[in-house]
Amino acid sequence: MSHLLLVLHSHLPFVRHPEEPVFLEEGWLFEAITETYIPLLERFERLHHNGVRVRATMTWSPPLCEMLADPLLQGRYRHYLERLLELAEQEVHAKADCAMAAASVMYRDHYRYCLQQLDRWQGNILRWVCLLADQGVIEPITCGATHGFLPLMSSDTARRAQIAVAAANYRKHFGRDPRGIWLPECGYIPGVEELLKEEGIRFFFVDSHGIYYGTPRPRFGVYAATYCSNGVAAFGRDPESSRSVWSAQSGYPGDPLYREFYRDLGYDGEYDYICNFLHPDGVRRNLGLKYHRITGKVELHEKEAYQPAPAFARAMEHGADFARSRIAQCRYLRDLLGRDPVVVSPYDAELFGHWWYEGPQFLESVFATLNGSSVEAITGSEYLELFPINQVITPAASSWGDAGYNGVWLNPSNDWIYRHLHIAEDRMQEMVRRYPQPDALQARALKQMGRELLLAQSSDWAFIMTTGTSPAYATRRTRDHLHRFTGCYSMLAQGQVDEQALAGIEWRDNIFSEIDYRAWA
Amino acid sequence: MEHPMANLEAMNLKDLRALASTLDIPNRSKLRKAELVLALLAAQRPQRRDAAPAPVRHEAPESVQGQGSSASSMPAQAPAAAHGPHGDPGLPLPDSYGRDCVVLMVQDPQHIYAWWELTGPALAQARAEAGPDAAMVLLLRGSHGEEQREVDFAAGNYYFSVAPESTYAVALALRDASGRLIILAQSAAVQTPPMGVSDCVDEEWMAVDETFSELVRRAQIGDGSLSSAERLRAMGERTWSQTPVAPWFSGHLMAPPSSLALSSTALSSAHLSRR
Repeated sequence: MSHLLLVLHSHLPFVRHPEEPVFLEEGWLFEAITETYIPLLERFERLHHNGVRVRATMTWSPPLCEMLADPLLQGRYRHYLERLLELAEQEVHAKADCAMAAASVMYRDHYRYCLQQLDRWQGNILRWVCLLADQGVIEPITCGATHGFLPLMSSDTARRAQIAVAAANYRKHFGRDPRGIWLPECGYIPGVEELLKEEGIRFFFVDSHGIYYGTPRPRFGVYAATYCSNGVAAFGRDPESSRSVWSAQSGYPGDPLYREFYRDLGYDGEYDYICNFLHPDGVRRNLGLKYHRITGKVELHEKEAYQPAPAFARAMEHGADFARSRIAQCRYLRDLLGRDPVVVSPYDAELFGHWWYEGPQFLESVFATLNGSSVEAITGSEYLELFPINQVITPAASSWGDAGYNGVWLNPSNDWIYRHLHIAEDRMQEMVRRYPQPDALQARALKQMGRELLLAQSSDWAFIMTTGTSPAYATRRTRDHLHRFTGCYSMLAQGQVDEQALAGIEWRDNIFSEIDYRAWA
Repeated sequence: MEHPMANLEAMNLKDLRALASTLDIPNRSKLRKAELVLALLAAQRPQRRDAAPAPVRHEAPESVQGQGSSASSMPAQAPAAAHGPHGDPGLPLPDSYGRDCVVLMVQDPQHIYAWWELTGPALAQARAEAGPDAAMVLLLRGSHGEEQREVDFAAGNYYFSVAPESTYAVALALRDASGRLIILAQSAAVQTPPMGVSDCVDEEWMAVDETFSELVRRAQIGDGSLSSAERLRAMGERTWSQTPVAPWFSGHLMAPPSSLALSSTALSSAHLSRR
C-alpha cells in the first residue's frame, strides 16, 4: 500500500487590537475562518461520516489557536459574519433575476452555515478540530510559537523558546503532547531536531532539497521518511504533487470556470449600497462576495458571471485527476524504489478556499477518489508507526520560500529587523538569568517580555516587508513589539516594574496566558 | 457600524486606565470614566489604511496570483501605497544598544549577511591606538582563506558573496598605516548550505518503533504478522486520545535494510528491497 501524506499548514499572524473597535487586519482571520477553516472541516466531517477515509495532517499554529479561542475575536467574528449575512440576504433579492443569482444564494447559505457552526462549537471551531482529531481524521501538529523563522535566530536558546512555548500551547488547546511540527516556513538548519526531541516531537517537514541535499544521500529521496541521528523523523515535500496545484501552466486553480479572486462586490457594488458594510473609513475593499469567474485571459472588466455548480463539478474532476495522478505516481515509484512510497504534499491551508475558492471541494474529491484505491491517505504519526525503519540522514539547511533558503526573510527590505531581534533575544536570556526567583510582578514582566519577543519574531512581518503587500503594518508590528519588549526590559533592568504600564501591555498583547519564561533560561 | 465609544463605555475603569496607560494619556489616574473615554477616543490614532488580503506565506499559487489567466490586470494585492503617508509607523526603537558586536547570518548558499554595532568603547579605544587615518575593514575568514574589505562602519551591515557548503566568520577591525589590524568585534562562524547532492553514500538505518508492541497487544494478535491494512485498521479503531505517548526514543542504529527486511520487526509493507 502506498500513501499520501497531505499536510495543510494553517497559520495567521496574531492580529488582535482591543484598542480599536474595528481593525482591518483582523479580517484576515475572519476571511480564513469563513472561506477555509469551516469549509475544510465541513467536508472532512462529511466524508468521514460517509465512511470515506480522510487523513489530514494539519498545522494549527499557536497564534491561530490563540485567536480562535479568544473571546474578543470570537465576538468580533460573529458580528462580522452577521453583517455579511445581512448583506448576502439583500444580495439574494438584488440578484434574483440575473446570472449571479446562484452565487448570491451560495453565499447566503454558506454564511448561515458558518453561524450554525459557531453555535454548535460555542464560538470556538478548535473544538471541531479536536473532535475530528479524536476520530483520526485530522492529526493536528504544532508550529513555532509565533511562526518565527528558526534559521535566522541568533541562538538555540531563542529557537528553543519558539518550540517549547508552541508545545505548551498545543497542550493547552489539544490536551496532549504534539507529535509533529511544521517548522515555520519549512525553515530547517541542522540541530533543530535536538530542540524538537526535547519536547517529544517525533517528526517535521522539509522542502524537497532539504532531503535530496542531505547527508548521506537519501536512498528513497523524498518518498520515505528519514531519521535525523537522534531519531526525529523528517519528511520531504514531493515536488510533483505540489506543482500540479501551484503552477501557472499545469496548476488546477487557474481554470476558467473557477471563481475570480480580484472581482469583488466591495469594488463592483454601487457605493451607496455597500458603504454601510465597508470599514467605517468608507474605503472600498474586498467584502468576500465575488460574482465572476476567471473566464480566460481577459481583462478584469471582461470577466463573466460565476456559476457555482459547474465550478464545483470541475473541482471534483480536478480532485479525481489529482488522486489518479498520485496512484500512477506511486505505482511508478514503487517499481523504481522497491518500497511502498509516501507522497508528502504540503500546502498553505488558506490556499484552499481563500485563494482558490473551490479548493475544499477539490480536497473532498481527492479523498473520495483515493478511498479504497492502492494509495491510502495517512498522517505523519500513522506513517511512522507503519514504517519504523528508515534511513538516517541529516537534512540540508533549507526552507520552502522562494529560492529555497533564507532570502525571503533576509534581504535589503527587511534586514534592519535582525539587529533588534538578536539583541532582544540576548536581553531576554539576560533578564531570565538575572531573576532566577522573581516576585509576582517581576515574573509578569518576564512573561510579557517573552510575549513581545515572540510576537516580534513572527516570520509574517519579514515576509510582508519582502512582498510589499502591507509593509507599513508589518513594520509597525515589528516596532511596537520591540518597543514594548524594551520597555519591560528597562523596568526589570532598573529593578522597578510599573504595574500599570505592564498591565496595559498585557492587555494589548495577551497571547499565551500559559507562557513560561524559563524557556529562555 | 458600532461607534468606537460604545466599545470603550462597556469597559470598566480599571481596563480603561490600563488602556490609557498604554497610550500614555496624561493624568489618567485622576480622570473620571467619562473623561477617560473621551481622552482615549482623542488619543486613538486615525485609521485609514488598506488591508491587504491575508498574507500567503509560501509563494502564492502562480495560477491565482498573476502569471495565470486570472489576475493579469491587477496587482496581486490591494494597493499598498495608501499605507505610506497614513500608516502608523509604529513605536520608536533604540538607535543603538551600546554594544560592540558583529553577527553573521546565512541568506542562501552563496550569500551571507553581517550586521554590527560599534556603540561600545571598542572603536574609540582602537582609534586612539591606530591613529586617525586607520582604515575600517571587514575581515572575512572562510575555508578558502581570509580577505579584507574596506567599509564604512556607519553602514551597519554588509552582504558577502561566498561559496556553498563552507564555513565563514567575520570580524570588524581597524587597519593602521603599517597594515596592522586591531580587532573590534568577531562573529561566530556560520555554515553555508549545500547546493547539490551529497557525495556521501554510506547508508545508516534506524528503527524507532514506539507503538508496535502496543498495537500488537491491542489487536490481540500476539506476533508481528499484521499486514499493513490490518495495522491501519487497528490504528483507525483507536481514538486519537488513546494513541500511546509513551517515551518513544528507543531509536537504535540498524544494519542496512537488506537484513532488516527479514527481522521480526519489519513489516510487510515496509519491506525494503535488496539492492
